[in-house]
Amino acid sequence: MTDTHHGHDRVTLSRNETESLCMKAARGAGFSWGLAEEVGFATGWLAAQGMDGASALLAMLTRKMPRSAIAGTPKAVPGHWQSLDDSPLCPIQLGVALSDRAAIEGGPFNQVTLLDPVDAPLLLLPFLVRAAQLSQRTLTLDWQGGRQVITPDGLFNRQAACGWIGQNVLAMKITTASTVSAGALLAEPTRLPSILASTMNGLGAIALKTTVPATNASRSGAGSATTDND
Amino acid sequence: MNGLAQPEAVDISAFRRPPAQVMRLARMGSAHPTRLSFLRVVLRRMVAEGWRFDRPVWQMDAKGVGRAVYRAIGPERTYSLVAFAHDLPDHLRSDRVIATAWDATFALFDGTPDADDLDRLAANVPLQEAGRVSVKELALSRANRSVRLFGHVVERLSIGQQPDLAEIEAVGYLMRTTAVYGSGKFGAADRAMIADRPELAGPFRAEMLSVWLTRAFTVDLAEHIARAKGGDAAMRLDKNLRKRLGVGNSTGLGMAPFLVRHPVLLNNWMQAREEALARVRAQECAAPASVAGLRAALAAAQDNARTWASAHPVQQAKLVDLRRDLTLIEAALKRFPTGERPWNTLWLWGEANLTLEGQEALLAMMLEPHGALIDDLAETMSTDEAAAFAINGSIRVADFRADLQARYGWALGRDYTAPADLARFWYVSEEKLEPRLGERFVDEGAALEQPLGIGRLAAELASDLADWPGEDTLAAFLLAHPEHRLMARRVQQSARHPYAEIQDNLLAADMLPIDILRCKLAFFGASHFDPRSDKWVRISLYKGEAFPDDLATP
Repeated sequence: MTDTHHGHDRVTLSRNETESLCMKAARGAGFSWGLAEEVGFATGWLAAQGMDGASALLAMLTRKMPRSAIAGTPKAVPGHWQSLDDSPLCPIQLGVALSDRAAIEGGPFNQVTLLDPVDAPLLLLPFLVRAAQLSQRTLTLDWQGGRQVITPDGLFNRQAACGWIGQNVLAMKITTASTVSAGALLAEPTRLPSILASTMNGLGAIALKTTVPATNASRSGAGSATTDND
Repeated sequence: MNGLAQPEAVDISAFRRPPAQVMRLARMGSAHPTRLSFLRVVLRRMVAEGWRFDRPVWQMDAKGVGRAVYRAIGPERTYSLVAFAHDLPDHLRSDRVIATAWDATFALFDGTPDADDLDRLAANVPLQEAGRVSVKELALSRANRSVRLFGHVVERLSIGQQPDLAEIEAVGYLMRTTAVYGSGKFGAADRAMIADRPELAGPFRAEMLSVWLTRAFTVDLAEHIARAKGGDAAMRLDKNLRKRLGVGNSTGLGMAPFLVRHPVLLNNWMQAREEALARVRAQECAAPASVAGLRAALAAAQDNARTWASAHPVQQAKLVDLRRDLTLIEAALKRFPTGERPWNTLWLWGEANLTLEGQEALLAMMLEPHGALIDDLAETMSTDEAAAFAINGSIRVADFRADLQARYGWALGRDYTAPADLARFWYVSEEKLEPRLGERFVDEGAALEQPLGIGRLAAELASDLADWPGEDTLAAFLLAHPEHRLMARRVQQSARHPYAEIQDNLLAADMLPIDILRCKLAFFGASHFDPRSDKWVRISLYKGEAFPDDLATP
């Protein structure tokens, strides 16, 4: 295989490519298939918003993989979600756990909910937007020095979201309301982000952990073994 | 679209086949293309809207090396097939996805490409997977010649003779594609970018348009080389012979996981076809024109069966079944129509008297004369998968368990410990990231199994759910059991998508991957399904259909 596109500094992946690459990397790092699908959803959604979730994912996996990529499983204590271990909360497991509870009476979106420090908070955003849509509530997120508002139709403050890019960990508080609060809610048409080729290659290397080295037997079983000159 | 013709007053639910009947591999592996198949839908729309076609670029040397552009010009938008023809040494010609050189490479361009676009594509398209395309491209593909037929056609045309019909029928195409990539692959436009265009809203329409224009290119290339060789003595291919040429396609295991990974999409394909059959069966009577259309469809099916050859024993047996069944249908049609609801009577006769091959062929024939009644269903075969992705974790475990029992009973009866029940495993090879199927008790790599054994996943989910408090929420269960999240999502998706799951064990020793391939390829519109093993097949696309210059000229 030639390395034509690997030589460039940056590359623009389609949303489909981002989802597929990040899903496989998450699986390669040790996430369950169902959670890996959620990683694909989250990074693809971010790409469609023009945000580079792939780099956030690679940074998080690189930090965590020496011990455990799936550390930071949340403990769903009403009003205050905490990590089950000494790692910061995993944004994927936390995100799906919150989103899964979007329609639960007395769940996290019917009360004030404190979140202990969350790893790679940019990766949490897609799940909070999904939760706002599913619960039909407006979510206000407050953290030290910032605020994000997400409406029931999924609008959010892009400037505040961009502030999460490159953040390693962030603790926050979620409050909810059934009405839209005032604020600059931006939904601009966006372009897919270009990402560093090194990000793509780094995720690709982790994704490779999901694959099986070829043998001559498997090769001959997958398709034609002849030169097909008929 | 055809709303007037729908039998709104009739309850047609009694005429629908249940998923337990439809979603079995043996029946899916007997699927025939129908008028709802994607390539048929593409052609119908272009005819209805009066699309025009031209070939603004043809730069080809005497050996047939160069580039060409074919345009399909619709009422709102234009799409262009950009073709690159190469000089491929015979020893490099391989149909495997892992090949690195081809006789011809293609991109479907969104609009009309300018000189810069063509230069950019010339630097990338011939490399296929090793190059990059852009959001201006909707599909990327490649094709190899049938050396035997291509050579014969060129030879004959160059000396002013037509090729032998027998040679054309024995192969059926001048080139076969070995991969047609769409949906954002290698940098191409994501499906979401084109899904709101009416002409591309249905599944795989950009890919099918690309293949149809490729078919025109294959004939033009053969005629060009013949002319370069024979000069004034050369002649063009007779249109009646030309019509018998499709585009071949060589497809391996890689296509099989798609139907498992896209359960909502699979449902929408199946449901549209089943709804169409139910509408036809529910009719009170048979209009003379529809009866004539049915007889014409039988004649076409018989012609198709006559030229359908395969060296594979499984398919040979099925072809024997099919030919015998077509004879039975011919006899039955002598008495058609009779009784109340004659279409339903015919269908029930078929279920009682025909093999699966014959039944599914009869289905395709019965749909054929009913365009006004069913063609609107083609617009229901797509889906926004994102809309069905989120899990509702608020459901109680007891209710979720009941859903699982109700919809996955077919999967829960086995214990998946008998070697024959889990003999195979699906995996992705490190080499070229190609999907493959391993023998669990022989091959390495079962720990890296892909989640395609849905029956076993359902059984494992049921086992762990059995120990969980029924009053708790699914969300709590999934937080503790993230390994069941993929299967839990499918269970929820299947609530409103009854045809979402193949109701067979995809890990079983006797499972035939070609059954999955045949179902998918029939929805594309493929004919002449010819398995070369239980894992890969050759087919033909567009055989018997019109060429661009048959439809319209600019």
